[in-house]
Amino acid sequence: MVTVDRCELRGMAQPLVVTVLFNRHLPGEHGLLRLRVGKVARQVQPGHFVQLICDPRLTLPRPFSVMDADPEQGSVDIFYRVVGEGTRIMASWKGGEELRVLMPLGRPFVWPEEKKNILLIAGGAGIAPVHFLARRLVERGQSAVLVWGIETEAPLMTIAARLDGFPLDVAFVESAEALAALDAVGVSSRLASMTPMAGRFHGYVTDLAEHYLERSSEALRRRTELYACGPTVMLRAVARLAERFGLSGQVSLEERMACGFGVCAACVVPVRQESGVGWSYRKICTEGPVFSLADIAWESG
Amino acid sequence: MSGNVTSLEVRLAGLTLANPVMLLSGCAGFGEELAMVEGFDFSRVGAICLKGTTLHPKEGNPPPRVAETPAGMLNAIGLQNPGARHVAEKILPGILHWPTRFIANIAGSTVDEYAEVARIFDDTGVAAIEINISCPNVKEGGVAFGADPVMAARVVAAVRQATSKPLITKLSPNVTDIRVIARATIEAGTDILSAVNTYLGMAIDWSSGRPILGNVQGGLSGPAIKPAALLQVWRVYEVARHCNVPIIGQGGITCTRDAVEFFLVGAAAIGIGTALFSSPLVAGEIVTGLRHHLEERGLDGPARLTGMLKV
Repeated sequence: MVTVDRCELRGMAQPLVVTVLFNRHLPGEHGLLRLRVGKVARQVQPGHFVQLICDPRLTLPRPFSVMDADPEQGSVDIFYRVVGEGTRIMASWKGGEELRVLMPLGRPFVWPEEKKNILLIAGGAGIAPVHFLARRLVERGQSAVLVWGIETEAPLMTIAARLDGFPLDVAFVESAEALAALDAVGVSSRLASMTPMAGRFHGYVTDLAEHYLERSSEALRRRTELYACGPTVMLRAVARLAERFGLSGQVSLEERMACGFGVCAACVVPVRQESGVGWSYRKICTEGPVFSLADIAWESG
Repeated sequence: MSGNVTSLEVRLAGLTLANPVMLLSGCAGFGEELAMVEGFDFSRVGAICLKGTTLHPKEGNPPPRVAETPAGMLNAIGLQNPGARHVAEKILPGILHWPTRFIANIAGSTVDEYAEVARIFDDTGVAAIEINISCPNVKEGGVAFGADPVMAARVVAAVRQATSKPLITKLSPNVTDIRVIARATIEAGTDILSAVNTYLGMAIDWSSGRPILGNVQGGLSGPAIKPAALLQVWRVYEVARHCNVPIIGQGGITCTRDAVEFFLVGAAAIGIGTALFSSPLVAGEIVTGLRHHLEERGLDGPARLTGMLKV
């Protein structure tokens, strides 16, 4: 059960004015924004999110999971898909714009033990925190496999192909290893989509994850943990997978949010009571967005 | 007049505040969450109204609980709170020593529940008790009390009996004539009025044909309601000025200029709500702006602005 230790969070969220370093348009109405944020980049961990003011005329800030953080350059990356007014404004940025953010927010992923094999599952723009975690896991030399359900041309692979040495390709450089891990158990794809596409698994990304788990050895499976971010329906399927194979894991959740720092109580999720009986609503912004898979009362709320 | 020293201190009936800028209930959690924001200075805020509290814990409404709308937002939180005893025993001891005033906001589904919650807070160090008879997002109580002058008076009278602390009654704008409710609650013993709570509204996802909010309907706040709220405060002031009942003006305030407008239509203090979500430090900025505004005009305090609308 997650509880909030106020001392740990005191003064953590910094209201900042940051600069857009670049904004790249990617396939499928996706975009990649790099922000110069300064020293705070050092504190940003996989699973943290930022509240971003797209336009002072919009009443609410927009929450985005951090896709990557570069402590040396003092920058963070935000991966987004254009879905509404805020992201449409974001897509118009050319670089050089100044905007207000509140960051970092939320509780990051809890690090897995080093001997664990990590199965990372992402759906759509849910790739952002999963990609960030993948990068950090690979840097630590941890065994990790990433599967991603994406209905458009895979935006990040495109970037990797176009920009030599661009840091975003790490998950896919790592993917040589990840692919080998998948190949080793007879799963030849890392990408899944519901529309048939060359070289991709045709179906839900959780079906692809299931194939991987089914074909893994008992020994590998036993040391596998699931880390996921994506739409709620996908996360429910991840929870079923975890239950079927007896695995633990963590998920990063999203919900319509107002403040992002706990004052409004808008972004709630039903979390099981410690007693095991019943559930109660917990705030995703301060008690999440990362929760243990087993803590969420998926059937409730 | 230019020789006057400007003081931001305000006296609202029995409630004295270091400055007239308050954080509104439902937009400031239980106070402690604000400590998470770097640079948040509690001493810069006149008072913080805590989240609406009922006798027993409430889970609130199913999500989604908020939806952005043009120049505003809808919310339907549904008074999620851990219950009055938990707030009094577990939360207040951790915040009451901070350098601002805390005000309990109480709600209930019966008159007796309001009184019982008030009795619990009467025994604590909160500076005042705000009666929420205008929550639009619960099935019982809330705005049902706030829309009926007889019921509203009954709630206020019962709470008046239950506490000796200064009483604030938070009025709903979702009524035909807010002056009728204001008068009834003043006669029942409220010391201060808070005007106004959110406007009822809804948001639709036109492509799916469904309401966006889990509760179907919610309360509209933000700059969108400011012109409507100004008129409501002006109307309440017509009644309240004759009884010396101060008004906490609120509804879409985002900057010093907005705050001054609310003073001009009769507010003695002002509240910041929705603006905190995008600008958690905005209250301090408005305090500074207000001081400059008063000093430039040689006014010795915010009371010099109250009701000074030139008509």
